[in-house]
Amino acid sequence: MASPQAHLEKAKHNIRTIVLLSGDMTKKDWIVTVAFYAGLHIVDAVLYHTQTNYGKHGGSHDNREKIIKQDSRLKKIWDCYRPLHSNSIIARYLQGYKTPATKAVDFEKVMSDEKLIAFVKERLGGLINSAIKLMPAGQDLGIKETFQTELEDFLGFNNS
Amino acid sequence: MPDGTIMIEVLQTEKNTVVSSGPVRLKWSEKDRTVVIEPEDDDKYTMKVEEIIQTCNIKQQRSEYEYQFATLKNILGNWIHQQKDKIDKSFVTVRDTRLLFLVISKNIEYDDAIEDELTKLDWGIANTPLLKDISLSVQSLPQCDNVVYESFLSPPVILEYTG
Repeated sequence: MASPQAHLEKAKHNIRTIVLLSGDMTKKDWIVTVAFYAGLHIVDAVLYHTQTNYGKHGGSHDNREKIIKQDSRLKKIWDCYRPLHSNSIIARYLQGYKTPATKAVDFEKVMSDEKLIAFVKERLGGLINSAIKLMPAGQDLGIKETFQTELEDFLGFNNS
Repeated sequence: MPDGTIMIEVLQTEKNTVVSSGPVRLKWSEKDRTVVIEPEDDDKYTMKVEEIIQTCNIKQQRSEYEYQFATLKNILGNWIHQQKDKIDKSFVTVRDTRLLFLVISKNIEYDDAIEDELTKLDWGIANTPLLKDISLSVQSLPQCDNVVYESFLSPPVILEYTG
């Protein structure tokens, strides 16, 4: 399996990808999707530390979610992770069914720029805040700092 | 009748009378014994004690699951009622290896409040001992046409909640 450090590095990579995508707000669907995958890697790093028998990658989404929902320590992570997952599904799958007879769902209408920023800040930021509390001291690889500094301009931390 | 064979008369018929009363014990320690079953139509057949015990276990589990599913339906129905101002349609279907509770919003805009309520519902169901065999995920969709949301409804749709 990937080590928790590898998962956190991948999460950092995804956060930096959000920075790239945020230069073009027509890519909101991908920003949401990458934010979810950043969250997923952070969750896997947490599960490595909190689940005695985890021992390997969480595998399917079903299995990962089942593990999270069985551990009350992960409630706050779940509160952020599930909306990230759910919204990424909307972003990825609802736009692919355009037919002449069907009013396609435009993700632009689902999430305004302001709503997207608030969403990433609250859900991914919230997940990170909860996750680092469950990791051994010094092993979070500065994921919170990466989130705050890399996404400073996008999320407007200076203005909040 | 060969040794090790148990006779079970399922029902009393005109031709036969019940010759004994009281419980018939099928013990796992006798799992290799043969049971002769005489149903109402006299079409006798045999099963091993092991097979009967396994069949009974499945029936018990099915009954338990049906009870849990009925409870789940009530919980979801109550939740929908509470959210009726925001929910257009809702379904229970099967997706991958789990049940899926799919909710279609009345609005196209993403709604944090619905997401939070769904998250709370999902956690609550997963942590209700009474629903221990229920494996459920939840998904909201913005207002969309049937062609769009039907792609999430792997046939068969088990339930559609209406009004």
